[in-house]
Amino acid sequence: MAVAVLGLYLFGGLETASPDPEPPGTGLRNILYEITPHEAAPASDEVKGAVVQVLADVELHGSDLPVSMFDIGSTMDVRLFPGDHRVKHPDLALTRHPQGVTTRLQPHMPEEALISWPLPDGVSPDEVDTIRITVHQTEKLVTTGGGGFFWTPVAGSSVGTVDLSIGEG
Amino acid sequence: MPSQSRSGVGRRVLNFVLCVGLISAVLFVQRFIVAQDALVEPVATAGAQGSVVSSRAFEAEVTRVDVTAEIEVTSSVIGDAEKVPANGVWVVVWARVTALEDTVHGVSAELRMADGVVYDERGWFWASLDRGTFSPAIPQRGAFVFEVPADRLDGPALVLTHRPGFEDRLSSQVEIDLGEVDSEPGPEAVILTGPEIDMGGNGTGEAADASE
Repeated sequence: MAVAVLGLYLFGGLETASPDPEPPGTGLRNILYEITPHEAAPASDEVKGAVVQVLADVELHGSDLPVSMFDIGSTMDVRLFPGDHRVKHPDLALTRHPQGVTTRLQPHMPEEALISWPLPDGVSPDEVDTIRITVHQTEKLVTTGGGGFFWTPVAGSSVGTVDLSIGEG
Repeated sequence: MPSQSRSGVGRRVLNFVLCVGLISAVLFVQRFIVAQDALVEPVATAGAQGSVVSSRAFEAEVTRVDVTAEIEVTSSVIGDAEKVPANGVWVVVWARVTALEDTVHGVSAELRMADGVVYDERGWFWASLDRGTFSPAIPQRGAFVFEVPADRLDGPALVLTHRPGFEDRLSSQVEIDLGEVDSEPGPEAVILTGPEIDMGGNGTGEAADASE
């Protein structure tokens, strides 16, 4: 065993798993939710400025309680190419009532949604041609004292990746 | 010697019985230890639709429950009246809420099903009662609005929690059992009217826009 580990070490170790991106329309499902991204486009948000907006189907299947978009967003790794810019903290609006603020997903309700990630400073919408969404596996952590909980990504995990070409806004 | 031996055996038996008794008592008392999270959970009062359910900070009475496929929102602050279809059904819970001690700025509303699934107040409509500010001893009548998959609407209870500063530890909470609610939506859209002050309880008192 020790010899095998040493040999593995000498030959550079195991390659990091990086699954090939799937096409639009592929469902990415972890134990909490499933998201199926369909298309992406640049858009402008009154508060956040330039954003990349993704049309997706989402459903919360692994919780009997509503879950915040902050928690959902924290379990995704979303990057813009070229440049490999990581973007975080998405907003979500349901396509059937986009003017309504939706900060939490309700359990067991399939929805079509527009999910928006703000562009990083210095990145213009014209520069971005692809958005890559990776969904991590997630786990529920209880806060100290047991009064609350949140969902957090499992480090190094991935349930799948989807690449979307960014169309015209 | 035999009598001393007998008394020694007796003491050992007595010690054994006492030990077993003490261990049993310790195990029994363990049952009364309150879990860490339960120590600070909201202080809840339970009741049923049609009765006034009181907590320290406020009291509430559910007067009617409507199930509908469409809700009509009138006098929206951001636009004209519109009908909003549900993804499932709208459950509109009409209630009368009164702050008891201090002014209550909004109560968090949830609809908890018999199987434990919880839905938040939808939060989209300015006329909803969860946006209300409740002054002490001035009852307001209005509706909490929930959106629920029809097949999930089973044995719902309205759970209202006073969360000052989003802090719900030891907060006031009422749980009102809504009984059997038919998940088949009514034929008409339910018109969501804004909160009204309801001092008389007969619905004929002068109405006022409580959001102002």
